[in-house]
Amino acid sequence: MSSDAVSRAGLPAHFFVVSLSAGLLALVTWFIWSAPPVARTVWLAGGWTVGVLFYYGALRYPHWYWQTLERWYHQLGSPPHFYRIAGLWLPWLVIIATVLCVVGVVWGLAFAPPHHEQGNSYRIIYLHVPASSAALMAYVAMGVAGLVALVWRLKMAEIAIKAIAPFGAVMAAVSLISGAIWGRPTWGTYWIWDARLTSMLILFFMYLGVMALQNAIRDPRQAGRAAALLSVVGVINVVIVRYSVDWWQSLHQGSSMSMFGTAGSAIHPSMLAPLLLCMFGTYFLFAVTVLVRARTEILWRERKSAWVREEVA
Amino acid sequence: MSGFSATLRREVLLASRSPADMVNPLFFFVVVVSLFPLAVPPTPGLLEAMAPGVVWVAALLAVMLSLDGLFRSDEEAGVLDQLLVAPVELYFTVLAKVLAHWLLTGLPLVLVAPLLGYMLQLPPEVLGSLMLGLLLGTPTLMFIGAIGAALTVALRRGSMLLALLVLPLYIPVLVFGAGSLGRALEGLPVSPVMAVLGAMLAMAMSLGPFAVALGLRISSGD
Repeated sequence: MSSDAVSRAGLPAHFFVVSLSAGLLALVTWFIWSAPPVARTVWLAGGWTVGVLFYYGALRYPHWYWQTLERWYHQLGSPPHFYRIAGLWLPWLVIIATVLCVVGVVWGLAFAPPHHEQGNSYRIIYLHVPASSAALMAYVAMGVAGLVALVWRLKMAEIAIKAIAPFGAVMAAVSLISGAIWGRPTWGTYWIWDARLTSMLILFFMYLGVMALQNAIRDPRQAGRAAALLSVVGVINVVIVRYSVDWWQSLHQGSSMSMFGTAGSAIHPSMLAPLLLCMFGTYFLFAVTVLVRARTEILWRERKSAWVREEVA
Repeated sequence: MSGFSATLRREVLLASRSPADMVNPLFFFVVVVSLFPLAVPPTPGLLEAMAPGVVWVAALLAVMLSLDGLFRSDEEAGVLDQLLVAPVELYFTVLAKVLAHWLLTGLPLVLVAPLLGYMLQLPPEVLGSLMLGLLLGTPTLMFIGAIGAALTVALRRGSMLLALLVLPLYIPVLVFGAGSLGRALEGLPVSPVMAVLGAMLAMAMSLGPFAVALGLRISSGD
């Protein structure tokens, strides 16, 4: 993403920054729109505040923004720098993740009110929803990293994919298992071929595919690029699978039972607040896991270099 | 475009020298479909209800198994490295290769499908939908699967991995393909589903070769 690379492609740098952020904003808005009303308001207000500030800054001080982006690109793209910066961030991330998860889980399990239909069995939501959303989010992150790895051949992006895939696979598995446990008392079955369940199962398979491909290829750079290509193709597939299974549902049977009475009904703030805490906690857990795994991978790949010898000694 | 026509001619010529490679997927398709009536209880109507899934899963597996050889012989003979450095756009070479592969192994599946439909006791008026669905679906499966074939071409035991990578990517085509036949059996119009299958084919055929070319470059250690 160096500025000369972008201008070689015939694009002014500002255009690049602005269009990228506009696309992200549109995407995030679209995602948030499907959230429950209270969460929707919180997310939208926060997201747009950050977005508008970013825009204002990018248009007001384009050079500073561009230089910062370029500095990040060079620093985070080089393994020793990444190793150092990640090491500085990790303790803080661990603290934030721990606090959010502990507070969210305790609040959700002990203090949130019981559900009027499901009693206490709904409380698995505090594990299930964060895991599901993290599994989806991790695959999108892997796809973005894959695109970066293919276009700019960044070694760090390949390492990121390798670090993300197992986390995503575990989260998808947790989502499937906790969903099955929840489904037994509420739907009367561990498994139905509902659109969401099926999509998550496919997502789990695709994580396994990325990991298998990565393990099958000896040369780390080649393995990284192959996994990157598969991740990008996979992101397209996840979207198509979701809609195709939805369509297949509507053809074969009525819509499945929804979680809380009517579909899309509001979840009460007293239950939503701990849920949001748990979700953010899981995102920070994602950051911690990926950074730790990436650092380990960097050490292994650079094990013959001088700086690693110093670091380890 | 010279690369396109030359590759097409070469592939057809190579296939005509070893017809067994063309016949095997077709044979596989027929055998797998004829296993089902033997394994399912002879309840009336059961076979008909299962037919869309059976035919489509068998076709999908036949396509997938034939893909393992798509680039492998070229890779072993060193032709692949030649293609990568040839002064023609790799996109067109790949397009020609996959299209030729479909003509030689995919089209026979489409042509033999009515016979299998008859074996599965499908009413004759849905055989047209069956063929049209396969005609649109099998090339899509070829183009998607070629991405996996390109990524696993240099690996020793790539065929198992190929299945693991490619099958999740096949699910949308399977859903709409089997869905088209299901709708035909219920007497509903199939054109919307065919349109979706056609859209998938357009997308796979236009974007697929880019990904395949990239996969081949990655596999050759670029």
